Amino acid sequence: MTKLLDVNGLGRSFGGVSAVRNLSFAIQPDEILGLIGPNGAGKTTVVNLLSGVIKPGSGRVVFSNEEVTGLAPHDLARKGLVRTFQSTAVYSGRTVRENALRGAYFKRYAGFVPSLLGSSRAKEMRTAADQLVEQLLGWFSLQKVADSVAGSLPYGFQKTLGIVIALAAEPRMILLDEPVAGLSAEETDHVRDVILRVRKRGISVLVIDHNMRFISGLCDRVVVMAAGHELAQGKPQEVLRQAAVIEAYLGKSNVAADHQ
Amino acid sequence: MFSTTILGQVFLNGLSLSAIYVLIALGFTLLFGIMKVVNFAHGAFAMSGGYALYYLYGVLGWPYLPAILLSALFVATGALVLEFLVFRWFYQKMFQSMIGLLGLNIAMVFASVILFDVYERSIPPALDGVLQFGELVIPTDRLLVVAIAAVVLLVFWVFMSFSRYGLAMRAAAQDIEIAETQGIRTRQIYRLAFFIAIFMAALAGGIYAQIYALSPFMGDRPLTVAFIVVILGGMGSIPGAALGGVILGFGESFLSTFYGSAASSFVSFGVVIALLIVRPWGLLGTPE
Amino acid sequence: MVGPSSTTVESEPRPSTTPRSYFWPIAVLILAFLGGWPLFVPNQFLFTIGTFIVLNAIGATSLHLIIRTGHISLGHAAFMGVGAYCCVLAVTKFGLSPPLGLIIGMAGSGLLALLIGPVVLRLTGKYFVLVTFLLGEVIRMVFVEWISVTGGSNGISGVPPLHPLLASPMATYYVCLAASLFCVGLCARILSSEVGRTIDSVREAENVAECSGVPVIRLKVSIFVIACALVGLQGGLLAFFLRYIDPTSFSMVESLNLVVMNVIGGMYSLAGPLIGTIFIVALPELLRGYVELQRVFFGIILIVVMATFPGGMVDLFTRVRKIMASRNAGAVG
Repeated sequence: MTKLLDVNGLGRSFGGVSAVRNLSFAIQPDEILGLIGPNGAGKTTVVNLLSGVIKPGSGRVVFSNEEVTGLAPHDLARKGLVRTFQSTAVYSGRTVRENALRGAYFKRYAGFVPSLLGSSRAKEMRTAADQLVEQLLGWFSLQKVADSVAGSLPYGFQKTLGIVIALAAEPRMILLDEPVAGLSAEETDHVRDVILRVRKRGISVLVIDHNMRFISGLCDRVVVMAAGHELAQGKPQEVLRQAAVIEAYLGKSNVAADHQ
Repeated sequence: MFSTTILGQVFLNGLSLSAIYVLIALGFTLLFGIMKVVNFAHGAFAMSGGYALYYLYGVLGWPYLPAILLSALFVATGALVLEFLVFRWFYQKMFQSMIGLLGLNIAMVFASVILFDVYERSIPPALDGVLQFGELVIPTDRLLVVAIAAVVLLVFWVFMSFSRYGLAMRAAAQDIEIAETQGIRTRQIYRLAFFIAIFMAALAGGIYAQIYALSPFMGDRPLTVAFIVVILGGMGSIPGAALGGVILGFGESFLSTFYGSAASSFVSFGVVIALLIVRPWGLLGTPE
Repeated sequence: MVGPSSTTVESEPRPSTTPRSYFWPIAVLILAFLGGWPLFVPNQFLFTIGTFIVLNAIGATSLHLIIRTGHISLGHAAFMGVGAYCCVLAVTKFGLSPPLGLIIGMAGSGLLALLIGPVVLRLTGKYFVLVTFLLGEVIRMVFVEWISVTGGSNGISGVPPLHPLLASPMATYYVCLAASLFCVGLCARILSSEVGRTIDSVREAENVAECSGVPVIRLKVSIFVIACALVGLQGGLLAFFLRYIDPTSFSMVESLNLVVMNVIGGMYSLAGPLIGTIFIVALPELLRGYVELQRVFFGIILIVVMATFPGGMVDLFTRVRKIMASRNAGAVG
């Protein structure tokens, strides 16, 4: 099967300290890959590297058979690779519907001059974007709150909205940055369902998080990181039994106890 | 061209400019570092110091040393009223402070125009006479002024490094919320920082008015200087303000003597603009 | 829309737009007034104020575009100066026709914006303000020091009118009104289109917008160039109106005025700078006599506005409207 995302030897340092070193992994179409590791392992840096927020110091990234190393976030989005954010994930002063519509940038934006002139193409695109938004809102059961202000919604709803904004760009792959941090068990399960629904739409997912139970219950495969490099890769059950992995988490959380 | 005499003059000129610049910039950076306020009215307080000195020394004829120190003291004390009425609404709100204090600047400058009229005045020098070393001519009043500034800065340094309040101020500049949880009374610290900042601005203004001229609009230049020095040294950094002030003072003295004041202005602006682009946190500031 | 979540189908009107049904009647009324009053009150002094107001509207609304992308420029008047000097030099030194001079002026300020935009628009909030503050000063110093070209502090005088037939104060007013309507209309169109939605998304959550595909720097630079070209047009028109230019018209004070017009009126709605322009330009002119006292009051007003409702007058109106709406809802429910 051709890999959707192929990461090779990815690396980046800040002021002489390497945050990520020689990281390699691949994501297949329709796959959910988890990236886990203790605090400071470099997970957030990896997401920032893959989404173009920062440039890699070394390594190659190939997305859908195209070289995308070092591209800016908006170029990556155009190629079908989007992400969510852990904080400032939504437009908090705007309605849910407006949030989703803003995410559908490619669908609604016909170009500078056509937008100003209100050409028929611009109008068509706008209609198509509205339809996409309604579809997304329906898919994630957000119609009831479509006209509510995002900032007034419970945190779990906002996290879901962040995912919806990313999906409005009609991507082929989505990077989720700690999608359940700070959520209750119930909200976490809800987000888990959302992510499974995303995969059902044919979109691959890379999830980073601390929550072991969440990751192992959701992902097809995981990559474990510690201190900037890879510790292990494979199916969750196999990987999490490895001694090195358990050791990396000793003192951070009761991984060993969970997985006896 | 680069004779010892001229270099000597340049050095002395640089010294007195540095004294003024460091005083002005320190107050400005204190207000930014601790209260996150961009004091667009800083020049107006310098101007107030100039007028206070004019009245105490020039009009009432008090002896120089008490006059200059007390004039700064009076302005700082009077400014506490403005702290209560105006400044405290803008603490920790950077953008609002910019426009709001701009308004304060306009109000203060034109109130001065109403009170004092627009015409320039001069303040008689502190001392007459000169010291002469060979061909080098040193006006004694400049030396006195530099000495006063140096003493004030030394006292400030000791205060900030060793006193309880100084440490509290530094803690507040680092992180105001943590400082609060540690029991530091922010209201008190704000007022203290404000008082010190205005005292130094007024002192610098008095010196500036003596060297140049006194008018309601004289504060524009010190304000621009404050910006340049603070950006150079790092916004919110006290050692940065000192370093920046010295660099700007000597740099300007050198450049304006040999290349004219226009060239000096262009270079200082150009350097600061370039700095903002490549290293906005200045020489000694911390990147965000 | 800011308020508790609602489950009703109808949404409240957004705070920054007037209800659709009132828009066109009000607009037509305003346009009729703007176009008609000179015919009923042919007063030279009022023409002058009117011309100043409509010209400043160009500067205020073009700055508003930049502010909507999330950047406050304290150097906008400097770009006005660049446009003015380019226009005047094209006409006086190169003998080009005045209308062509206007285009050259716009091209000059637009080009400068294109050169420095990609560099300075990468800076965040306060650093951008400081850079534009300093750049404005540098440009003004160039106007003052480059005596051979700009005439230094004395400026350039003997600027011809835009057209011999359009030299009268009333004609000048109408020309400037037309230009102003074009510029304000352009800004309004940009902001109400998908471009405007994109601009707001960049200001409110730049990282989210960028990852949705918005080419952020490209957008900011485009808007910056358009805005600076428009204010360059104001500069050229000002030159033809005053028949001379000098550096004082393009100083920090003028840049600050433009910012204040936006802030007092309301920074995130186009109505803001329009209200602010009238406020800032008209009031001092009409209250002549106690200039210094005016400025003191002006300063105090700034303090009060920033301390109490930093969203400007639009924010104030919105809050008042919401209070009244909730009172009505309470009465009905």
